[in-house]
Amino acid sequence: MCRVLLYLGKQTLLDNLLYQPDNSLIHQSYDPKLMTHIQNLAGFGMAVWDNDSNDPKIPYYYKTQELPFFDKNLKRLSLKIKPNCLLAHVRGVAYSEKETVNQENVHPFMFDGFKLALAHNGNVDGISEIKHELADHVSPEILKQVKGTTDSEWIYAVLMSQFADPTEFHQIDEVTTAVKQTLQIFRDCRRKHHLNIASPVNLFITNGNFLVVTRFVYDFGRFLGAEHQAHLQYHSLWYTYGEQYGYFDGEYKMKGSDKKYSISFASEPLTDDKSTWIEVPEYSLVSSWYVGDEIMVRTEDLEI
Amino acid sequence: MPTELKQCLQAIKYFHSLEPKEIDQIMSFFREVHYKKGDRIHHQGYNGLGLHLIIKGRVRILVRLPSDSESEVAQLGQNTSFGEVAFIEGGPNTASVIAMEDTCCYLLPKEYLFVLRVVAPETAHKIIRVLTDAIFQRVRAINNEIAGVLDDINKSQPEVKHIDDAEDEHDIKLTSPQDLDPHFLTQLVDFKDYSLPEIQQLLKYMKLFQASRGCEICEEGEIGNACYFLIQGAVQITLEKQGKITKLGILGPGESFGVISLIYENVPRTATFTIRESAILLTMDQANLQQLHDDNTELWYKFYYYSCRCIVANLRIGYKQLIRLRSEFSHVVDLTLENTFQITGA
Repeated sequence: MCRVLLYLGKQTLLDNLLYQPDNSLIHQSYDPKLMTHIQNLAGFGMAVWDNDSNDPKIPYYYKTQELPFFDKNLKRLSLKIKPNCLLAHVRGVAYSEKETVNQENVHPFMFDGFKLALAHNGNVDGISEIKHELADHVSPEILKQVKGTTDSEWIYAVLMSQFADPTEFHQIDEVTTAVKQTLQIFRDCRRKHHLNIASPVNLFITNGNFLVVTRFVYDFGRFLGAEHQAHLQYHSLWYTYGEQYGYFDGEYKMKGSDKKYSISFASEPLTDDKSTWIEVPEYSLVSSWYVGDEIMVRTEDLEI
Repeated sequence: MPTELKQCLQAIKYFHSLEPKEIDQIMSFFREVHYKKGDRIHHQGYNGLGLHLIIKGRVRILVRLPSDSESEVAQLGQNTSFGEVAFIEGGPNTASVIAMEDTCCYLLPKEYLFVLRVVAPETAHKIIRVLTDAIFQRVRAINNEIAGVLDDINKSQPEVKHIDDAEDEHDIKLTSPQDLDPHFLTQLVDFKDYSLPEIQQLLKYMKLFQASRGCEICEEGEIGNACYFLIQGAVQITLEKQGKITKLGILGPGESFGVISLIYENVPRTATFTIRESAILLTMDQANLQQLHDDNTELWYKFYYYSCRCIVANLRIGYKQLIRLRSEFSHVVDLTLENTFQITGA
């Protein structure tokens, strides 16, 4: 299982999000609170949008297969960059020679010239059996950009193939529709191949201006035997909102506010105190977008 | 023993069902604790200490939600209590408690519940039963509150659809509990506190069945007499208000539901439970529960206690949903923190 952090809102130092909270994403990479059987040792990646940077619609895109807690360059960057939007991911894989640990498999995925970035927490069981079916739903130009071996990159490829022009900036409604279509395509392919082992698909999608998140599992609760421990529970996903994430009242947290100026989604709450975090419901899609300077949030049921 | 504690135990409804000798018996389990003005006795979001009875002084109950600073939702004084939910279930507090003045309490630490269940099971059972009664009333109240809120916001809240029966089969197939691997059951949430022999015993009082997607196991409002344990698959919990359905939550392997209808007679189901992903379930009805009581009272006490903890889990599911609705629809509904506290407790 991987760990993911998604932030949209007022500028805050990257260090405030990645390193400083008591259960920060970097901390989760080696000592996660909500999972015990795996550590995230297969790389780190992030896409960072900063309104004050050169060409602010294009994110700073960073990927490494190094371990983030040893990455001095990442720490130095985090003390300089102040994102308005961040999608960061630490990759976890099974302890198996079957896994491929390389930079191509590190999330988030963002193909050349595209505006949407995607990270995934979960795994689609039996992906190798359905890739040839999925290829029918991926445009040839996008297929050329698939470089890795992960199920996640195939989700991204199918998602981006739902758009007539994947290099455009899309409206949030177009993206939520494309996400549902993508999930349905995977569902159909799995059914065709009689795949029915639980497969979590927590997706984190952004273009720097809005967020789309899913908490979803195909065939939740269905497993072959005791070895599928990870399939007994829904993958965790939480969010919090407020004025801004930073150091307030002696702790790193989201500063409270009547209105939503900033929002953060995370696989685990960034603070030990979960009271200001809300758990995303199972089988849900959550959208967050700006109206003026305020952020709206809406949760809808995913009936795929 | 101090007369203040005895008076307090007699004044608090949770202990009304106890005989005088049982009151005397449990008094030794309480620990006198003193808090100075301003001390934070309970931290919201962190595990609680146990059941507090206030002998002298006064406390403030504070709740913090996303976007909010801490807000006072209630004050409690002499001969009142807090910490019931954490005492029964051991989970995190839903509110913070701060001493408004120097305060003296008697604390029944949650760890002592285990000891009490061993040395005085009947007394422990009576306390668990009455605390669960109070928590069950909160479950009903919170579901009513959610239904009311959804009524207010149903114009903007997407409705949950009925689960389509995507498979050909829609029937319930009965098979044998002996088909299950009891070693595997010990890994499931609601079975992990039972030993292997205890699970093997419990299986004798249960039936095993398979149910396909879309199959409604329990309907809100109906009088049931059985509870269910999900072994594989998923169950969706919904509430219906004026024909509109809203999702309360999802249960997965190892979680149970319908417990209220097992331990209370003639009480309507508080929600509808529908198979979301094809499932394998165990079920126990009241007749089998009575048989378990007659055959193995020790195991019955344990089963009853864990059933009560499931009712606390129902409360937390409702609480989570209410907080989320409050966060997303604060511009549509006036869901005050005071109301939320009244139905969830500290």
